[in-house]
Amino acid sequence: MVCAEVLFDDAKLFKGIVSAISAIVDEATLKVDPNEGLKLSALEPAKTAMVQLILPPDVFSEFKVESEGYYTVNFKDFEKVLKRIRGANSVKLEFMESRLVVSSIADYRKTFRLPLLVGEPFEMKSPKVEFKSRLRMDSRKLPEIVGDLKLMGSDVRIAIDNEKAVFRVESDRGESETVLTRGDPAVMDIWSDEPSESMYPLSYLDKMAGPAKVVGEVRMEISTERPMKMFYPIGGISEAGIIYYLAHISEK
Amino acid sequence: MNELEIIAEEVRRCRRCSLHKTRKNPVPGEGAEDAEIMFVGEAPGRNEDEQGKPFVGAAGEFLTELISMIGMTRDEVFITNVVKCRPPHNRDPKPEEIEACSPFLDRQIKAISPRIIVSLGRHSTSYLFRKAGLEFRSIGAVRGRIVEVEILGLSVKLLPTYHPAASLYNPAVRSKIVEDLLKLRREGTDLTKYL
Repeated sequence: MVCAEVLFDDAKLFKGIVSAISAIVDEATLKVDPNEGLKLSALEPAKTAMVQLILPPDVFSEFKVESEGYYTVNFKDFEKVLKRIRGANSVKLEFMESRLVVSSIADYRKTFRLPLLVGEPFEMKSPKVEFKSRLRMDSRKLPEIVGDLKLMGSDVRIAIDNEKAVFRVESDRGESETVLTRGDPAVMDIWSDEPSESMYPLSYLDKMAGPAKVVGEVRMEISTERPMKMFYPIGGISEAGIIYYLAHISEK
Repeated sequence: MNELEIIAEEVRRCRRCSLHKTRKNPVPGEGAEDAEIMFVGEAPGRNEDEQGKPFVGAAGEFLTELISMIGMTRDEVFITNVVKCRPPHNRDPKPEEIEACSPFLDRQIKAISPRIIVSLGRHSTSYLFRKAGLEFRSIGAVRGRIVEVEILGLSVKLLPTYHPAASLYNPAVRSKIVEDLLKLRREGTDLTKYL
């Protein structure tokens, strides 16, 4: 029996969304709700990072969901399946009692059936942080910035004020610095209630740069000695997007 | 050629035990010569023997994940095994094979002078405990506790845990390894206090 059926019109973007989750957790529970759409909130085992997904019904070209349901999906396997869907325009998901049916039609129809477990109901719970500084930027530049920083160390210090965002890595290997200033083509907006600065593990930031391949914008929010929030908006629909939280490295 | 490269070259030419007859590629180890953390496993498996690199199979993927979990990359640590050649059919290394091969590990430890050594599994833990003058009973009894020891004249912190391969068949072991490794994570990198 099909409990929910949704059609997503951009296979490439959908693959990117699933990879964004798989980068942080192997397994997570999706909430499928007739009014709220698809939602997910998962903390990785080390508790250093969290990923959330909000896909309201309007993001989908077809959204047939009768009642609220929670489904636990192995995102590593889901990602592998979606990698087999090449050139397709859309991806259809059918949530059954114990199966997730993933299908697409390009030159011919492909169908995969993944095991599905009944998930525990959850509420979207986000870290309570008052973010003081924000950067909106062209996300396509983010993987390059992270690549430059990784050359010189494993922890990045990020400082944001009203005019610029500075990413700096220092180690025995040397130093790397990237400065994004208001007015730079890569900067969409930058603002700050008070200058903020925190340090984060680069290996995580690297994973969190993944959605930049499929989404054009990223919003980064920080405060001094506090976790970071990254938001990749999807489809121009309010709230829709991939959200990451990353714990800072305490320097106290 | 630095000391680690010299050791690797000697491992490639080594005939000290019978494992050289059945190996495809010896696996000396890899990583940073100035690594702060050294991971020491037991012996190469099939994938490692094929590629000549340590921890490249499914257990290796998990190890990479664990390293990332503590905010580092494989390039920043050093990964090796007590025995550098694959025992046939992935059997446990024999005491005489450990005896013959371990001088390479000793020299790697001296060359790198790591701050922390993570011993993965009972064979590497048993060997390093012996070197540190500690009594080893079982991996289950000693895992997850960081001990400050002197090994080969160096002061190091030793963290024993299960071998990542054990987690492939037992999910409970996986969470124990994660719990153990998290002890190396820097203070403060935890989101739960904000939830």
